[in-house]
Amino acid sequence: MPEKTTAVQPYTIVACVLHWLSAVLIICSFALAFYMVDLPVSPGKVKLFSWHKWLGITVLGVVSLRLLWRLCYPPPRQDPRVPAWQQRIANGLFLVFYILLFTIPITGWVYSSAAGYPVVYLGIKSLRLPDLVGKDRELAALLKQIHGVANWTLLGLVIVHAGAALKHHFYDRDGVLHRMLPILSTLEAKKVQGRL
Amino acid sequence: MTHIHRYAALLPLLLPLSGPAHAAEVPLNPTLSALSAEFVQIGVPVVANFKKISGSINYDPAKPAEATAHFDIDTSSLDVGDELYNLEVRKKDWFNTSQFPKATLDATGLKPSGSNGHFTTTAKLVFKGKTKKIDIPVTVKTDILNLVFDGTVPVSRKEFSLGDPGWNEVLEDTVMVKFHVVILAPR
Repeated sequence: MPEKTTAVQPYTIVACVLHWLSAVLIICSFALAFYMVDLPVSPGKVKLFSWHKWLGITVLGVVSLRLLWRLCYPPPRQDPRVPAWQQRIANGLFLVFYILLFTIPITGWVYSSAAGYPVVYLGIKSLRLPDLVGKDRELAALLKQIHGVANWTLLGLVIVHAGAALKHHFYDRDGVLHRMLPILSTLEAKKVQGRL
Repeated sequence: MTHIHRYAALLPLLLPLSGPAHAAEVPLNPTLSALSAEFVQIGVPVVANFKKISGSINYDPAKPAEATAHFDIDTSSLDVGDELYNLEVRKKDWFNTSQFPKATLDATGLKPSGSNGHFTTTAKLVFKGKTKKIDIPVTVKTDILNLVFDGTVPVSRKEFSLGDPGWNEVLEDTVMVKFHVVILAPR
């Protein structure tokens, strides 16, 4: 039987760093939002909302870089042993991921503007983001809903995505996770050499 | 050209309309007038409107020094954009609207300042049980039907005990209060 990980081509280091960076930022931002939304009104709540917005705008920046990088350096080909239908589903999911990764921070930003609270990145007045819409209570309510639904959809997809990655890693042992976590290959190589 | 001459020229136009008598107390037009407070929260400027204001102005363009104005502001009518925060603003630490449902402002005399149409008035502001004398810059403009008074005045939250000290970390002390008062021009 051939070595299972030989067919795996990793993503570039930049793509991996951007992937894990956006993952961490999104998890922090989501957890923060989940905690803060139902807090009673207080200065602390106002502060958390600001941090959430700054995190969200940072996510928008990182995800934009990711997309730009992806367009310049297309991802490595899929493992040919993965069935074509699974590859199609995977590619479809990546597309939905990207749509959500842009929709969520953008609806958050526009929702904030529609509610009459412009987004001022890091609280630095010169880094005030433009208001893409004017103050509009009904629009704000609609954008709030879209922002929420998109987030819960993303959570569902992240669970599927992470579950699939773990299944490939621990059950199929086909090295798919190594594509986005090349350090695993290094660690395994060391293990084989008996240095770990 | 003085204001009086301008009005004289417009007189034929205005005659068929029932305008108020010359230099009488004229109530503000509630639809066209607006009062807002702009506060800054962690660098974010937020404009909140007082939905209910009433009052009147007694202004003769020939005698600005004798002008007087009185305004009533419904303190529970401030809309900061979110119902939860609107409720917060009405609480004791903020506007304490159950005890002080109304803020009043009485202004007397318009002193010319700088160019034509720019004045300063001295006003007595009663808000949350505290009385402060403030100088307010006012510009006066006229259109065919209306007299329009505009201005912005900084108000310190601390001076009126607005918000418990915990809020100072996220909210700047100065709130810019902006008014746009429209009354029917005297005939």
